[in-house]
Amino acid sequence: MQKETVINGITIAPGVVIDEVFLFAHEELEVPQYMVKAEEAEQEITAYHSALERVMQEMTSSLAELKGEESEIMNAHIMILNDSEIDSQIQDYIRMEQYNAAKAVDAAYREFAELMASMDDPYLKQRSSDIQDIRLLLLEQLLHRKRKDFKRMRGILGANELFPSDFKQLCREAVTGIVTEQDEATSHAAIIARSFDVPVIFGAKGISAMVQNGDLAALDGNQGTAILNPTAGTAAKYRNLQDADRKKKEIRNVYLRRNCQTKDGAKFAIEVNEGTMDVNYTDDCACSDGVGLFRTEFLYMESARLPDEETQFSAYREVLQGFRGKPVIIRTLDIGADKQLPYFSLPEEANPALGKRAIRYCLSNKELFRTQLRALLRASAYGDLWIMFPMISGVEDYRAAKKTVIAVQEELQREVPELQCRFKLGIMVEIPSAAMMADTLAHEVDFASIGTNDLTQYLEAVDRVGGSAGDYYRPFHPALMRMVHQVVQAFARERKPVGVCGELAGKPDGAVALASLGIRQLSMDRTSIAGVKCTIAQFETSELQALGDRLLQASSEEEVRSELEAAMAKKRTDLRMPIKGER
Amino acid sequence: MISCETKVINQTGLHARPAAMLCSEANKFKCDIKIKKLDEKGMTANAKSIIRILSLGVSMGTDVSVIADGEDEEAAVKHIVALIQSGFGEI
Repeated sequence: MQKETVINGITIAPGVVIDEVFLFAHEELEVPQYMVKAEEAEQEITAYHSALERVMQEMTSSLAELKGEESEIMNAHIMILNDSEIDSQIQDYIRMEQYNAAKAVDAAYREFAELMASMDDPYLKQRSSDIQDIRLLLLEQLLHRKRKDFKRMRGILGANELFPSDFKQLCREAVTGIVTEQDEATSHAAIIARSFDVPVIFGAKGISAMVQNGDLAALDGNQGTAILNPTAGTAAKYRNLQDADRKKKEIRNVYLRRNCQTKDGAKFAIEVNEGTMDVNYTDDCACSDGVGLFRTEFLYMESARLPDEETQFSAYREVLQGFRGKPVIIRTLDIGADKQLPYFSLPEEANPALGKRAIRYCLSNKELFRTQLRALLRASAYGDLWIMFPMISGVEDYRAAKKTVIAVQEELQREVPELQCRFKLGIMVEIPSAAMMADTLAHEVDFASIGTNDLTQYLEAVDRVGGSAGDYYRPFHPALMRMVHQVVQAFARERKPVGVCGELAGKPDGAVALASLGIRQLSMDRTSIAGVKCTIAQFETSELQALGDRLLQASSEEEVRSELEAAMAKKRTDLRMPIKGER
Repeated sequence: MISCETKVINQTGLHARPAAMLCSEANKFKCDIKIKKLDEKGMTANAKSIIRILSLGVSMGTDVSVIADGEDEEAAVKHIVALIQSGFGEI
């Protein structure tokens, strides 16, 4: 029996597991070295290029199955593979130095990897392992070697270093934990490891030499420690922690799929915020009642030019179809101020948050606005579309925007008479003037969503993106509570839906505060859904009402917070999923 | 050959996605495009090579010069400078 050893590393993904370890190691490739005659040089270059072509094909074909960050990583690898300088370096080695293809690839990639590893910047250091990864892939192709398969291995994976491409050699379901010596928490390997949804620890120095296949180990992803050969006592402790961790995950999954309601059955609509590339809408649809905020900015910011109508149409259609008839609130372009577009410059302003942004910008750039509206109206046939205008200050803005929508609709119907456009039109309530005029607005619009982040900023006159007055940003200020309440009442009188899509909606205490003020529609990041559903389920409607009355009577943010704390005491609120990079 | 000076204003500098964006935009032009760091060392990198751009290590606030040489040099400099000034959609 070996001695128990504790190794401290860094948490990449939380959770606790105790299991047997299997070691993952790269086989060293023997790179053959010989002189290539001048007349054979072109042949070697062809061999190198066809290996490159095969790696490229593999990468592009796997790109289709990847989403989000993993597809970004693959794109970065494709760019490195296509790097013109590495390519010409390899060709030079073959032609000038008479290297054989494998030796040239090995040498050139190693040099560039070393160049990156020598940089001071941690981000650049990590790119070194991307380059090493591609070196291996190219050499394997050139030398017709296959990487060792670890698909039958079960348990905790222990390794010195994992490259992004190594994860393909693993069986996702069989890996119960990951521990390695590499210490780059933001590396591509870390991002992919996190997607395994098991405890992951990096930076566990010496682990690959200390552990053998079949050794027992415990990983505590919450503390960032690995315990090798735990004693019976330690093992028992970690089995308990593992059970608690699994139970928490199970509860989280139960709530995730459940409808949101209070103890006494008052129903809440829990919606999800969308607005990034490559999201699995099926999963998000299953755990929510629709999309409460689809940010369209990513379509404009991810590309090098203005997205055309077709690009936008297919993105909107995709989300509408993905949510199978559930309401999808799509917000028109909210650009300007802190959000700029790469391909044209917006006017500089002394006070951008108060400048020509969002709907103000769209109304004065009609072509850009019309393109978006055309795409939206065309997509409306594919689901339940609710169009929402940001930064509405009063009925004037709403009427102007609505007029444009109607003009676009008429234009479309002239072009395609059979086109069916069905949609609702609504507003973001994020400017105090709109909140004050909520009764008038509620009469005209179909729905509203309160953007608590901007509303707090404008109500309390404090920059929400930091600045010297950061302490004055008070998301629980009673003024905000009262304002939300006023908007809720105005919309209730008109029997029109009003929700909240700001950050407050996704925090358990924020959601409770909003619920107590009468909000029944909350939109949040997907990671917050389970926690909010679980929290709401522990309250009675009467309890919420009484709390709301107290919040409206509070004289300071401190009072609001202490009322909330008292109401939240003894309620379980810790089901929020860990966010990437969070310790 | 023409050149134009500008400042890198986005938070991550010429890293990651911004570097990739810069490189793929640079590759759309025929002319040679270089990025020069305007510090005492004055290192220069081929804008069409992602690795070279990355290894320049340009962080936020760095002054750089965009240098292009070839038939479409004017359009290239204009486009790349605008891209850098836009903050690559990060701000």
